[in-house]
Amino acid sequence: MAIGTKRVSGKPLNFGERLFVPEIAKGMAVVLSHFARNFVREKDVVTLSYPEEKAPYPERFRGAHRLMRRDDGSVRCVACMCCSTACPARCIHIVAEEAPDPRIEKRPAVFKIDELRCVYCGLCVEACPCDAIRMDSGIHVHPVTDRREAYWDKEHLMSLGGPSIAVQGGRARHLPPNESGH
Amino acid sequence: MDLEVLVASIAKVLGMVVIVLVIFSPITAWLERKQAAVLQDRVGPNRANVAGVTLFGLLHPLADAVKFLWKEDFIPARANRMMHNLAPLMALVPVMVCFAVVPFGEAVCLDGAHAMQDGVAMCVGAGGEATRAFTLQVANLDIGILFVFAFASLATYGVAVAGWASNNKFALLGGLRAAAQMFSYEIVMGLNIVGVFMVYGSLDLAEIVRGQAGHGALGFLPPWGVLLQPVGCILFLTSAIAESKRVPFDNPEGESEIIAGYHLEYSSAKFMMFFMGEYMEAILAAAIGTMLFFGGWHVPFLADDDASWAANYPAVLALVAAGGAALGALLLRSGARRKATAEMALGVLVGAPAAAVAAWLAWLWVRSLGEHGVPLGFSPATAAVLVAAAQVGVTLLKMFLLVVFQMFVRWTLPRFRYDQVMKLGWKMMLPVSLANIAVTALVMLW
Repeated sequence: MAIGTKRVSGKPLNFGERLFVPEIAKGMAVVLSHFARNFVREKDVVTLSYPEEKAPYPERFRGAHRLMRRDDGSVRCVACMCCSTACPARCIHIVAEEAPDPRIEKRPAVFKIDELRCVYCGLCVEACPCDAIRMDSGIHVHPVTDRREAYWDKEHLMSLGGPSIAVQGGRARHLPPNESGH
Repeated sequence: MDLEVLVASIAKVLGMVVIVLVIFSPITAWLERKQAAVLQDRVGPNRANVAGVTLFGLLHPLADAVKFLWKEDFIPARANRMMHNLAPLMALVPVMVCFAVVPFGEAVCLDGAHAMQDGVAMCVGAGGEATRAFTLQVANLDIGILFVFAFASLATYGVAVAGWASNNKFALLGGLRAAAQMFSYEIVMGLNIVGVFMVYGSLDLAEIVRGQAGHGALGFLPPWGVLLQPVGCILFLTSAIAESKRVPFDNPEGESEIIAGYHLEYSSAKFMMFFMGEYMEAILAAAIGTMLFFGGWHVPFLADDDASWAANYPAVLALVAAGGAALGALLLRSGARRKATAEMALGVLVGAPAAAVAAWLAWLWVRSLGEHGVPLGFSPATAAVLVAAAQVGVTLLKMFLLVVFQMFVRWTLPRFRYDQVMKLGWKMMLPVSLANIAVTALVMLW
């Protein structure tokens, strides 16, 4: 296909515009008004001085992951593998083990997230039935000098986490409510 | 040539280099970035600091200079090494030489009144003996402004050679564009200030400035070139911007078309020389514009004789001190915004004495108005030095404002297309400048 030319017929300049000088003066008036306004007060400057000032994040900002804890301090995760199954980036690595509490059945022996592979989609949080994994820490993943530093393990993820007020799911009906009151 | 003249000349050259190279060009480089930022609703350079003192980002040119010197000086493998090395010098040195004929103030006479004898500023003492006055320009040439044009055109070689020696197609295009553009606009520039020569009857810049004192235009306005030759002034500023290859005439660089044009293959100190050369051309344009069209060292309505300057220089110095006080206030404001104690302290240290001096000088001047005498009880020699300082201050202020004006033009207008540059130069500005000469001649005859 031959490339056609498109003819643009702009409005011809009138005499005043062809003189240039009045039009340049008009343009400079705009520029000068901005200069004067910003010189007197810096209200219109939207720039943030980043490390000192930070923009507030939206409420649902997805930052680094954290693992929530029960009231007794143990991890809420029951190693159901829902999050690692939902994860499109396959960055969650869980090894399950038996939990001492018979009402809970399983807990993660290893819970590792490769924060470099993570695409911060939030599907793991959606998938979690226990409110164990969250992305609301508000933390950017820090730059690392070695990839292994970006593999966040269970202890680190739990250190970011806190107690959850959600009712723990997967509770066995035939057993009495656990000591934490649910 | 006796020793005294030699020492004086060296001192003047050093003074000029300090003013232009050490003070003015970093300020211009800073102004380009900071002014652009402020008028585009941005913040601009503000990070480089010494103990929290950023001076509105004025330390950035310093940091830039250090950075440039530490960069690798790269020469392309097939470039013409000698020409590649020579080109930045060829672009920078002629521009610096041009400042030799720029008068920053009236000739200084430490004793006696100054008078012109055969175009040379002399000091006439009480007994009638005449000695050479100390001029505030490096070389007092009769050809004056023609010298500036001669050397400014030499800068074209630097740019053209840089484009050719780099062995790069884009650089060559840039060099060719620069050569054609500078050549075209030199003609226009030369023609449109012929009107100025006709009005003031001299090529010597100091003589042209002397013609702009007092109030001669329409009986009450100062006879500045901008009022007597308005068309010439606009044409001069336009062609001066085209000469210094700045926006809207920056086709030789044309980032979007030919990357960086003639200095594409330059790095390190050699790039800095082109960079500085461009700013120096802008400063030179401001200096020549000040001399030709904005009354040089003259304050509006102040007559060009020793007595009126001696009576009124405290007012000028008071204005300079008031500027210092304003600077201090701005420093204080900038420091308070960033909670930088050192900068606030500096603001107070600069601003408070400057404000006090300004108030004192202004009061002395107002008190002396009625008596028509010398307001400060200084000896004539001290007063002469202070008058010279006031005149240099006025010149530098006008130059600064013209540089600011060029920056405003730069950030207002988009770049012309190359054929539009040529069309504007040859088919619009050249006829208008010829018409300007004809009209000026007719008005002067009539």
